[in-house]
Amino acid sequence: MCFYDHYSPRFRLKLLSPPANSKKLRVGDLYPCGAPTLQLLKTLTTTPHLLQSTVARCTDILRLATDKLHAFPYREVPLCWLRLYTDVSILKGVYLVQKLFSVRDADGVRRADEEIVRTLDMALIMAGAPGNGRREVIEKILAELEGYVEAFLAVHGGEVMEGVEMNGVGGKGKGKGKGKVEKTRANGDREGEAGGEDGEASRRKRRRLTTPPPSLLPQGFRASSTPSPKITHQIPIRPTPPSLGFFQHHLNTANTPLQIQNLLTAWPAATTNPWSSPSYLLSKTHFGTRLVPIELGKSYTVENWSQKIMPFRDFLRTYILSPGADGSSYPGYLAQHSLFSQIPSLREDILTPDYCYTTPPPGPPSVRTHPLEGPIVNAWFGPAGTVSPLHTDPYANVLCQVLGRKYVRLYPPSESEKLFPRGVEGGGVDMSNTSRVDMDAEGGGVEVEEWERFQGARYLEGVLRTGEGLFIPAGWWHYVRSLDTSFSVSFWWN
Amino acid sequence: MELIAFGFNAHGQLSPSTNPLEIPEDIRIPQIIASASDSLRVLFTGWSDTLQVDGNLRLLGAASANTQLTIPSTHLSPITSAFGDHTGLKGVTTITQAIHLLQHYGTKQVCFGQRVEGIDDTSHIAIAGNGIVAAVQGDEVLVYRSFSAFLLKNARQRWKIAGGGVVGLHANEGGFVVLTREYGGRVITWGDARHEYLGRETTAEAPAGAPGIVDALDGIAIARVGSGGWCSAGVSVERDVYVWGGAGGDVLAGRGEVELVQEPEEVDGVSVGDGHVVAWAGGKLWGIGRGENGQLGKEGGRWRGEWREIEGVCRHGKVIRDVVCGGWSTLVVCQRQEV
Repeated sequence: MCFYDHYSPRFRLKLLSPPANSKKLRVGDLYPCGAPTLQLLKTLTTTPHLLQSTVARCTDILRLATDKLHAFPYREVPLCWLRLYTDVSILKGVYLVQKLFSVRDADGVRRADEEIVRTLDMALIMAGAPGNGRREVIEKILAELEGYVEAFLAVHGGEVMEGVEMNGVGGKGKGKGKGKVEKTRANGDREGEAGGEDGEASRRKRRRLTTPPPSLLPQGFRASSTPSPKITHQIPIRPTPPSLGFFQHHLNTANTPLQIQNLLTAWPAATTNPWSSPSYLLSKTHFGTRLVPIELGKSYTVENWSQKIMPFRDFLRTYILSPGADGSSYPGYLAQHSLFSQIPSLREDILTPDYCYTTPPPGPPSVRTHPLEGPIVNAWFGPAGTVSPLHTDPYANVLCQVLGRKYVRLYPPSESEKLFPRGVEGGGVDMSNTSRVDMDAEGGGVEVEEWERFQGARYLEGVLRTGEGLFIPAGWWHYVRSLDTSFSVSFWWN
Repeated sequence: MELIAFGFNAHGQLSPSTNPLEIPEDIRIPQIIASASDSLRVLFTGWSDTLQVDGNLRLLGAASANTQLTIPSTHLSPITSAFGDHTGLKGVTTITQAIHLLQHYGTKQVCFGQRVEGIDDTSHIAIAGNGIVAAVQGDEVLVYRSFSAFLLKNARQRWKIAGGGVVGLHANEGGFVVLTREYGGRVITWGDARHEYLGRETTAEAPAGAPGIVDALDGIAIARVGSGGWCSAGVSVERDVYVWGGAGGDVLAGRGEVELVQEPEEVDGVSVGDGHVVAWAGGKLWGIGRGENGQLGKEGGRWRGEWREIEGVCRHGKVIRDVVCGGWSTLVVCQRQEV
């Protein structure tokens, strides 16, 4: 049975006609895009055209939407452009999938797959995919696409990805969810192979896996030789996670930082679905083709700092497995990214700490915020040497260390004066939550008197290790530097 | 006189398609789209519409339902300029400093209405990509949050223009460029603080949001300017081309800087669309910037970083009289060389 039969017509039907309500354009939201744009969009979707020119026109509309996305500050972009960017990206993605079906060579399929992933990921990253059901459609298309490509390449003898472990043909949606990563024995036999496939297909797959991949990924991320700094004012440690009651009481009374050990013992990311395995991470990111936003440069307070969007595997290869491969000596950092709303299947590997359901006291007056419905979860993944300069956040935070060590220093809000918060900087950006002091620079990069004053500020510090969590109350200043390849997950709540 | 066009044509704004259900192809090889024995002027070319005048007013694009229409003009005083945004051509200014708005947009009944009541002092008006409107009214430049605010005369800011008045006002994605008559032609810019594309450094004393002089050109008499997307350009009386800004990650000049273009060395004029810049001299045309839709001829791509000649525009020894860029297209008016 060939892959094609397996996937069509059921697959194509599912793919090309997503749930009715998710594709209907609610003209109201898009109205400010203007009559010309809406007319063009209407013509594109209602009258048949050559597939190639349809994709080109989608690209044209996306270019207009992109220009508009850049014409406003991030928070002020009118909804119509975010909606247009998202809907046309999905439309383009669907047309590209249609084109994909006529591609017969492994390289062509891989290239087409990457373009579809790129198109849909840009909608998630650039526009946040607003609109009823849009995120779900994108997720669905990506999941089906992954299965299709995997199946195609299994039959056509192409390498999906260097060293990526896979569960089974067509089982992407279901098998992977259980998260059982199967080890390959030396002779290529798989443990615990799911039954139900015909012998021919599984024999073919086994044959492919015995061929060693061209370059092997390391089994795990090497710990660096950076020694842990000497700690003089250790953050109070709790060897085991305190109860919810204790924690709420702590919030109501002291409300000071806590370093909690053995917090992540139940996380699949630390156990069964190891984020310490590069090939596992690649398998969760659509063969590593999912796009991620990377911060480049020493820290966001420095002139040459910039952001770049790149495929996950490029980030892994260039900045994690061989840092400095791009020629610079500064790290690339996947920082403060809502990775888990972009790639929901990774959310299954982590557990929201119970503490995020407590009620923290409101932060200092300068950091009041609207109540959050649920915790804001961010991923922080980078090599040794990434730095988050001294700053505050307006939310209570539990920083969970899944992989590697991080050095953290904390200053209470009462010491703010000695930390010289910045003001409104070039471009009208309010940087008052960031300190002018550069803790990695000679003399802090500030005047001598200021440095002396800074030295007098009280602080707490610690090395956050794998499996530990750090509670940072709202408004507390924190500086974070990774000592190894580090993967952290932060939970902000109020 | 001939009007030659190339670039984005999805709305039929350069050359309508014969089949109304089809989206017309972009024009990559320069094509004659109109000719006239006397005068021919392009008043507007935007993302979706084109307005030309050659005795008659001709409208093309989404405004006229993707067809070419001659629209009535007898009720209009001579038109000085036209303005619009991503929603299409919006209106025109006339020599009486009145404004007429386009009505029944997108239908075959499209036409200009009567002059807008109460507006009789507007010599220039332009709309930026973020909706902000700037207008030269009397001896001031006024800035409005939106076009509706302009119609309601609800100005957000106003500045006096130093002696002599305004030669040109152009909008780009986030701001404006003004050419005043001071010192033979002085360039002033303001706009979005985040992108350093104003051709000048922005400081607390000379912030991005308020008009500031492009110091690099101070003392040079500028004859003409253009702006669009995040690119701007100027031509001096000495026929040098200056550029500043960029698009996406690509730049025409350094941050906050202005670059003197080495080649082409001497030009008659320059025009800027949403990300492409075109300069001309005699019968030759050069372009830089975005070219995906053919706005730089058939060899344009995502971004052309170097000036290159756009060939095959003016034929049979004709010379270029004017070029108007807008959106993602280029329109060139060619005429026989005067003996």
